[in-house]
Amino acid sequence: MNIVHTIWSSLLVIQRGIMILSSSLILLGLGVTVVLRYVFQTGLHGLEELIIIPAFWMYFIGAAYGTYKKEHITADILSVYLKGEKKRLWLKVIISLINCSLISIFAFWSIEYIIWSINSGAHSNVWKYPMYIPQSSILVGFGLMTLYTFVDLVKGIVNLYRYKT
Amino acid sequence: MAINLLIALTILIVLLLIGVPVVFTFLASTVYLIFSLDYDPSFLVPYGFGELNAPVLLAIPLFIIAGSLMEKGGIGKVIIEWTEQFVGRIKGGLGVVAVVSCAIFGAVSGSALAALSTIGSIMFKRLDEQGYPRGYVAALISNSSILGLLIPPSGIMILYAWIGNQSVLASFLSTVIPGIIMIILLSIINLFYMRNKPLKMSDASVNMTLVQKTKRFGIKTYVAIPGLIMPIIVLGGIYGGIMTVTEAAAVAALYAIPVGFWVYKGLSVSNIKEVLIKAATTTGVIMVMLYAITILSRMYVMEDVPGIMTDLLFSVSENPLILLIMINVFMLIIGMLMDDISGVLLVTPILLPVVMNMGIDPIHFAAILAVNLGMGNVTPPTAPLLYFGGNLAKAPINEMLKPTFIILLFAWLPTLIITTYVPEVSLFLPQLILGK
Amino acid sequence: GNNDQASGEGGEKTYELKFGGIMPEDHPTTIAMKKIAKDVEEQTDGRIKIKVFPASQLGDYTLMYEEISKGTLDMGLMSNPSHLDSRQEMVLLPYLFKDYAQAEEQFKLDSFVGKTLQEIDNEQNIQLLGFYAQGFGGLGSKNEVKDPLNFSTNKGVLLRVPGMDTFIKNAEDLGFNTVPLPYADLYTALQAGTVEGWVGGHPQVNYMQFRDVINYYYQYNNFFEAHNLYINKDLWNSFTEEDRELFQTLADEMTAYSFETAEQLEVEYRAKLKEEGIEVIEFTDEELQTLAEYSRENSWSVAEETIGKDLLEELLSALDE
Ligand code: NA
Ligand code: NA
Repeated sequence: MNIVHTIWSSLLVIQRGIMILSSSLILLGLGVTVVLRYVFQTGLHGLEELIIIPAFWMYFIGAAYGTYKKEHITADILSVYLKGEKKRLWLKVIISLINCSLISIFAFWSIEYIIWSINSGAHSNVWKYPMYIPQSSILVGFGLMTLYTFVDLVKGIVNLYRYKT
Repeated sequence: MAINLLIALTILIVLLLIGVPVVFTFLASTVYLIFSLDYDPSFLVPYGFGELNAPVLLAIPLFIIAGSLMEKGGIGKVIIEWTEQFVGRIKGGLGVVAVVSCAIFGAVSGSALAALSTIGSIMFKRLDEQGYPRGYVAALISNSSILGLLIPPSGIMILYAWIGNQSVLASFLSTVIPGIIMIILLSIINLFYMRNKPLKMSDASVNMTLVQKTKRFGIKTYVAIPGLIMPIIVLGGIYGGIMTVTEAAAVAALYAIPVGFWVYKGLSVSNIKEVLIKAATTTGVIMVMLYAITILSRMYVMEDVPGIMTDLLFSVSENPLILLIMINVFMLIIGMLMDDISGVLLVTPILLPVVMNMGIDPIHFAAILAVNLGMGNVTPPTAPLLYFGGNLAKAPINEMLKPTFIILLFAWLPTLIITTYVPEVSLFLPQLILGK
Repeated sequence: GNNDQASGEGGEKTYELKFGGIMPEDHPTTIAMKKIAKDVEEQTDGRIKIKVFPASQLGDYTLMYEEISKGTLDMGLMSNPSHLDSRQEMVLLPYLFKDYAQAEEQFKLDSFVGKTLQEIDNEQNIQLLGFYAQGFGGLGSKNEVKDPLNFSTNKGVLLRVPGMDTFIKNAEDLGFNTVPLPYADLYTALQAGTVEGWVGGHPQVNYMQFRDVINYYYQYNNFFEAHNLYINKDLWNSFTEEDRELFQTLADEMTAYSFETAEQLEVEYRAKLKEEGIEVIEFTDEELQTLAEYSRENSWSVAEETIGKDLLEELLSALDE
């Protein structure tokens, strides 16, 4: 149980690290672009190509962290009118089940995509880095979202079971 | 095929209503279409990547970071307090400031999202502190942010001009007056809406003499100067040809760090870390939603949803007046289904030839299109600005629906009718300035 | 895609194909796509139907190329992307072709360029059927280019160049200060003066998209743009001999037609630029020849890495024939 706990919290620490690092790199990169162009009348070709990497990692790790923090936008009209704790618990389980199954489908499709990308040898124009470097952020993001929605589902079922007994 | 589209839409709406997060409702709709229409799904994930791979999108997180740094650093608060000197005594005045600042920001940005993230991240909290209802504030600013599209430059107008082979400058100018009409109507609605609400106004300056007021204004201005330079950097930087919008957003954030650290002393190392994590999370939530909307829009394109609707349109009537109503309804539906960028790409090639055959000036149509698709960003189920605004303001969508409906009815609808049936509104400025 | 293949009444396969393009709805290139779709449907009595998606509705050309390779998109008419194989960049070498005649000579399936491109595309499971000539490109600018023909003197224009080594090197060799900038930001950047000029577009693009933000257009002829007609190779192989012949005939007609009209369109759009009050600068054949020789000597070396030394030499000797 201790190991699971350690892995769980390390995952969160790593995500926070990636978010801080990637957004700092983007800020720096763009700042340098402005200074180079305006002050030195020149530019580092392919810098925007490099910025794509932290950008995508910020987007998808952010999305995963948002899932953990339950920050995804919801219309949530039914729960206002739903009477009774048991019905609410059931609704939570159903929603978690829908979320988890949908995102796992997309996580699976992104595995296929990354495998294709690795085999295709797709690379960027200027720096020639492999495209799976930014692209794999989608797989990692969707993977983590699957994990968090799954844990949510399990929690929901446990709560429902506890309420019944 | 049409029945599958109807089912996909039903799935989207039902899931949305039972409380499934928006992003998953889009994914559900997409998955249903993929399987029911027997598509090979392998294009979906890469398509989303390709569409999200746009440097301009980076302006969104960067303005969020800049805004949060301003807020945490204390710069935002100083600026708002300074601005309040002008409108502090008018009830509901701060709401008007929000509307007008969206328009002013719109004059340098082509995107409603950038306007929403910049103005929104500063104003939501401030309006909230004065006691404005949260859902209302989110709705007001989400709607006002669309002024970013109507006040030039505008991303969708560049796309329209490019696709339709029209003058970019004329297309830009066509939406200026509709934009001004929107500013006025939004401000009136705001003053009217807030007239009976209890608001916490800033400190009473009723009994102050003119000298005292002037002195206080001087002090507030001096304190605010390092903060006031911020919009000058952004606006001056973009206008002065020093940087792109994305770069300006980054520079604003970079500038906010030392000012927040040493001048206003609101920032600390842990603060900055917190801001970056928070901004990245908000960004991630938006981006994955954008991702889902994008792939769903791709399914609409492949299934020719607009084509099906065009056929419907012409089977009804060929009278221009009725057709104009129908075209507006058609664009309203498109606007409900998708964001403005996908909308303009879909609508322009299909409707522009039809409209030109009817004898309508393409520059006039540019304005009709911009108002419609701009409005589409806040009409559910696909209402990215509403969801984005709701997320930024932490307002539940259901609290935003009533004020949004009021704004749609009393601001958007009149503007749309005027723009549609009074061609001079869109053609006057292009004719005046371009002599066209 | 869906419903690609099904058995028709007479046992012949029926097809519903998706055909993606990148040009706007009423652009000649898109009209050519629609013509192919119409002709194929008519001549197969509706057995093969083609649905046309212009204006990058299905995504940008790099993505569409990947999709044609996988078969989720059936056909495309678009630029050739180099992210899967850098050798694709060979057709964009500065001053590769000296005139329309030479370009037409090489944009044929049985020429050196045509054969090489076919090989490259075949490796990606794509069949190359033909080309749509867009024309020679140049430089649009807000400021006047100082000494446009004099190498190595500073041109006084901060130039946006596409992220391709040969483009960058060539512009710098000519004396431009170059900066990278996303294409999406280009219009506003020119409008505001963040950058002062851009290279990479022919007169049509400069007119249609940038006429409000440029004051000068230089017909440098430094590159030639042609779009490629692609079809998924598995699909191609599944066609009957007759169907393949039909597609190839229509593709050949399209290629020929595009070369007939491209030069005329270029002249037309230069005239339109002038009508807008933009100063259009054209160069004599001798001047262009000097530019071409200088560029080949100085700027092509960087292409050794992207397209390979051997291919570069083969290309040169093929052109000199
Ligand atoms: Na704007
Ligand atoms: Na909408």
